[in-house]
Amino acid sequence: MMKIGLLISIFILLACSQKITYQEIPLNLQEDIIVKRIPQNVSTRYQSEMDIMVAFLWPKSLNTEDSKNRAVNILSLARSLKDDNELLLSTNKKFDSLRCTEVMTGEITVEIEIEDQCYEMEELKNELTFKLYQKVYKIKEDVIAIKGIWFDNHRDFDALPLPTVNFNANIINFTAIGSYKEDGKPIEYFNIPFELKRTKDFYTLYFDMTRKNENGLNDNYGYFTGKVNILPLKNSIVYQGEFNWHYNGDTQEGVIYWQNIAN
Amino acid sequence: MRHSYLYFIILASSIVQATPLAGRFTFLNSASMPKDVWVFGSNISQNSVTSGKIYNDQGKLVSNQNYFSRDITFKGLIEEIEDSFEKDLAAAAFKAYGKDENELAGSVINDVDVKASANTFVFGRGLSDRADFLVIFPLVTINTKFNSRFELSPALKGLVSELRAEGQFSRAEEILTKESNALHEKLKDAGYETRYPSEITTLANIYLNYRYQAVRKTKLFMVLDSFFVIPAGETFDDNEFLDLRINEEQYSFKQAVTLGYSPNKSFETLMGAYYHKRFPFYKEKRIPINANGMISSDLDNNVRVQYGDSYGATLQLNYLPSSNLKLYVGQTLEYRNSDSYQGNDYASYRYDLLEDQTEQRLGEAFVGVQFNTISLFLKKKFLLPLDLNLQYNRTNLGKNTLFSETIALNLLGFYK
Repeated sequence: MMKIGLLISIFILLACSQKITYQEIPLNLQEDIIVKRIPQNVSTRYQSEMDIMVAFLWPKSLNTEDSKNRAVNILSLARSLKDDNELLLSTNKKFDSLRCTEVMTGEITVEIEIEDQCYEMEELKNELTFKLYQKVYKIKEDVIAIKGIWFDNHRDFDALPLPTVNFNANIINFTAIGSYKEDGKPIEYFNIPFELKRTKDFYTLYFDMTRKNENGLNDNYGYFTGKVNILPLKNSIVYQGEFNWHYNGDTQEGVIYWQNIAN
Repeated sequence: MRHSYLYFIILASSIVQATPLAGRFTFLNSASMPKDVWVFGSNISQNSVTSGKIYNDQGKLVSNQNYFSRDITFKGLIEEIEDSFEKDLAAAAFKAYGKDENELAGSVINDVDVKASANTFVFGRGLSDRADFLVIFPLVTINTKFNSRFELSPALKGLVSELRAEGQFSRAEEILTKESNALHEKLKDAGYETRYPSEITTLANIYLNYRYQAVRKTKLFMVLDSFFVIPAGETFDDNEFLDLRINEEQYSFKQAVTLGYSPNKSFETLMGAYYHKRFPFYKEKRIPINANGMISSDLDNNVRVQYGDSYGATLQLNYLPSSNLKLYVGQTLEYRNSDSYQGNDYASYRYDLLEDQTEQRLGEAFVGVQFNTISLFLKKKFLLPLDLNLQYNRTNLGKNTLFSETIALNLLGFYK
């Protein structure tokens, strides 16, 4: 009996000595730093008015071969917009530096080579503008074809004030993100505050705004969140990133892109 | 009966193993205890795989890192995305950036370092001059160091650069962050714990051993060992990603036979063989989505699991310079069949993925020295009847098994 007792005691001893030490798998996270202002050389170098803009929501699924192909097309076209616009802007700049408008209207007289250059540039400008907006139109067509939601912007309305990014007040004014169904007027979002964060060597602009439905304001229509990276270029500054719609606990992903021209 | 008492040794560690095959103390003997003699003892072994090597599925010795790491293509990255819209959008994005889905996206590098030590306790009694009953319970300590990282291929690095150049900084950063925390992110997404047991000390099954000396002639011996294995100790649920299989998880039965031939007093040849039968049971199990990895959020709570049966043979040569001392050398060869997993919730090929790399082969060479004081004790020349066995063993062939070197010390005391 004594030995059985000994055996039981050792079992208990063993049970007590069980132990586990856990170790967490390390997580490397890049910290974002909230900044109040974007560097002055960026905020003063570019106009506050927005130039070209693209904003849309993806559909909830891309389950057909056609929608997959169109998604590839949308992304490929979207990639090239900023470079196309940069080229257009640099052409515009050169056009202006040669005072081509005055040359072509005969207000000033220049050497024949310059005049030829002006006409060539005028042609190139038209070509580049057409090409750029043709791409935007193609993106729109594909977004609609795959049942995404396309938002008309200031470029789609006549005589609409340009939307702005105000780095002094950290506010965005969108003069048109979509339009009302009833009268076709633009849906505007004014005084949208944004937050700036710096990660490594780049800045990201964050904003959210209550979404307005096609019939006017509606508090139950969810909200948009924007997370937009900023890329300063020679002739413009590019803002591009996520533009998601949060509605009824669901999120529909989207894209927003705009460019502001350099001063 | 010659030397049976003197040469009796309990092979504590030799029968103690977790479900997979692993290097351990091995020692054959063909003796049994006299009736009513009690034995108690302990076996301490230190098993190390610090060499960082493992035998792969082809039986080739490779580094742990090589064995546990894998390359992943862009298609593989896409397949790992669970949300179908995100999956399709990622595929579209890769196409838009000119990445071929079969192009290498990177390599998952897993560094795994495991050290194991065992302290095995034995209690037993001689039931008759031919039969013994023993209870064996091993306490194992496993130290694990684990590190996982993702190395981007030139193609994926190129994509990150392109995204940055285009001003898609967040997307580029997302790739870098996601891939540098690939495992953490994946575990979190799939609902696993993001931790692993770096050190565990636990009981690993209880072995009930009935030993019967079937043949006992002047030069020839045969011993039959029947083991009933009772699963015991720490178990891990399916939320733990590191599959430390320490327990059998179900009752199992093992039968061993040992033949001994002793041409004279100085030499012995022993041959042993065993078959370990494992029975099916049902448990909750995560079912992998594809061959890219075992991490999955898909749970089947009624999977029929049958760990593979194992079987093996051992050859051992003993040299006895005196009645107290034995020098021995031997070789083992063991096999373990593939595990089997069956369930109804998902496609059968996904259950088959769980069976990958579970077929095992293990060969070990061992050398040791045994010293006992029993004859000295009987002559009243030593205080206690003890048996000491020191062994070194080393794996020399394998398949899906760790290369290891083990040093073990076995100490037994007897009492009547």
